[in-house]
Amino acid sequence: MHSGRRISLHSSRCHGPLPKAARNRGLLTMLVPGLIYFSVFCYGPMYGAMIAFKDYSMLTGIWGSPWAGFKHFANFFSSPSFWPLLRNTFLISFYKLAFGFPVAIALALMLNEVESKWLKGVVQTISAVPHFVSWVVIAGIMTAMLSPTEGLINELVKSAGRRPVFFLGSKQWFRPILVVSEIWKESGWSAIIYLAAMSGIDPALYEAARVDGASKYRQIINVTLPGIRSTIAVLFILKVGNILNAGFEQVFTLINPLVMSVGDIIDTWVYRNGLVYHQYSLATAVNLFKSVVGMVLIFSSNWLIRRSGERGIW
Amino acid sequence: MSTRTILGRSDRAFDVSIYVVLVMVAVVGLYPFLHVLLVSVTAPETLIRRGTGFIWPGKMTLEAYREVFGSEAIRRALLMSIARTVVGTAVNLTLTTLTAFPLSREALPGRNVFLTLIVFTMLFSGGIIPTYLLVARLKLVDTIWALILPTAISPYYLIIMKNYFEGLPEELYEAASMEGASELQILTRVILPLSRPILATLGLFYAVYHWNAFFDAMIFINDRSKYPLQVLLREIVVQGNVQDMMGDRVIFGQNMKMAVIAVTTIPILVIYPLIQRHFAKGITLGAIKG
Repeated sequence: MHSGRRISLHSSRCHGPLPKAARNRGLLTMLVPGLIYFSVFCYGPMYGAMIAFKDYSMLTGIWGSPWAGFKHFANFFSSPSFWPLLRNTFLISFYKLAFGFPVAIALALMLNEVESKWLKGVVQTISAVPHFVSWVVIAGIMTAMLSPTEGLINELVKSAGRRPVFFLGSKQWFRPILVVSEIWKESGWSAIIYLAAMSGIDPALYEAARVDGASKYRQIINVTLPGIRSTIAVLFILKVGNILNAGFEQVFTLINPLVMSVGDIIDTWVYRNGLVYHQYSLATAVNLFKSVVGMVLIFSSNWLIRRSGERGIW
Repeated sequence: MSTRTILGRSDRAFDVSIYVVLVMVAVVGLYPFLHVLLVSVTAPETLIRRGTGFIWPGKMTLEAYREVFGSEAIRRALLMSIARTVVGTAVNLTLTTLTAFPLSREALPGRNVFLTLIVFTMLFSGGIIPTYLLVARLKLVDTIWALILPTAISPYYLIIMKNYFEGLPEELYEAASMEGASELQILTRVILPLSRPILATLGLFYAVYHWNAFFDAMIFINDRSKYPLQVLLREIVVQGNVQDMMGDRVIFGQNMKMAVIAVTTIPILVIYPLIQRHFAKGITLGAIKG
């Protein structure tokens, strides 16, 4: 790269290298806008999260509001919405992980077996597109296609001689729909990450397996899967760490009063109680609980994965 | 991989079933978008007569698009989305570059402290309520900056860019600094010209983020005339109508709903091939591994 392009950067004042101190000052100056950003917009809200332990009011501000200890946490844990909320959040996430995680790996394994570059490219392209489309758009498409009166899916249902179903308003169907639409949206994208890992596997390993007379299926089991083990481990840690993130934008754009009891998750609850009903301290406490659990999960799953001999995320 | 010529019978069956499944994956992946397009160009009469199932629009009409672009509310929302995407991405790239460069230099005093503090923000955040209170406190509500500043730097992309800079040959820095270049000059004249691929990739990802974002606009923008497209789209899909600037309600038929969805999605599909070019390089994996 960069083959001998002349760099002429002579400033009139000085020739030769700048003194180390000046160089450091230059680097630090460049860092200032970024540091301001992280202090204000990342550490600022962390400071603000202190209102979880206070009775926050707009009038007295964050620091001036009276301390409330763990009152909001206690209220939340003993409130009737706590268990349903935790159950919904965990179950939706868990189903997404249990079904979506293997699907992405399977898709990548299949794409990796395809010898036609054209087919591989087309399927890869199409299946990854939805990742880049917003949940608002996808919810719009789903609402249209799942409509009980004029939706495509219900036409299929009717032509099979059954009665149309109001999928998005059905307690039975709401969670499966979340899981399937998540898989539809994200599998192709996740598969690309696995495919990148597969491309790093030494071809000699396949050669050796073939010499041993291994079928394609055996090659997948004995060469490809072990070859992407560390990628699987990393993505799994991240998924487990995110188990309380059941997919806010997705649930938020699809939820409706009919399915509140099976679809309301921690994030939608925090939004509603915090920003719609202005219970700032309570909502912040619930969110803080979620963040802390998430962090504990990511540290412990990383520890477990490392103990089992994989590299983990750090 | 290309020399697997001697196939056993079971291997051939294996291949065929993989091909069948993948073709189905492609059809299932593509059809919903095709459905949107088909419904959007079908005349409302046809939709009423035949429903919106497997539709084939016989005679195509762009009537729905004419009505969609005829709506003042939608034209404004489109402009707002374009504005936040352009300005937002510019801010993202500038700040990410400016921060990633010093962090990529081992000479930076306190480098590990800064890096640790930044990585920590990937694991833990104050949450939406304190962020909302902060944005309100800074008087950013109802301004475009509420949509740009709170996500001005993605720590993931910052780390990707830092890693990219670290991968450039050290001699570049040495040569330039021997000639008396300042760090800023090294960045702008030596490093950036070599960083076009990473700038393009991250720029595209940031742009997609801004184009798709709707939740921040929903909580930070109360003034309806400043709604970006995604927020308006949600209203149209949920309510089936939209309030125009004059206070009149415009009813959205199924074909118009699909036309708005298409208008919101097409920009993504247009830049998608550009994004895809950078896929295989495992750019996201780099992000995840930090």
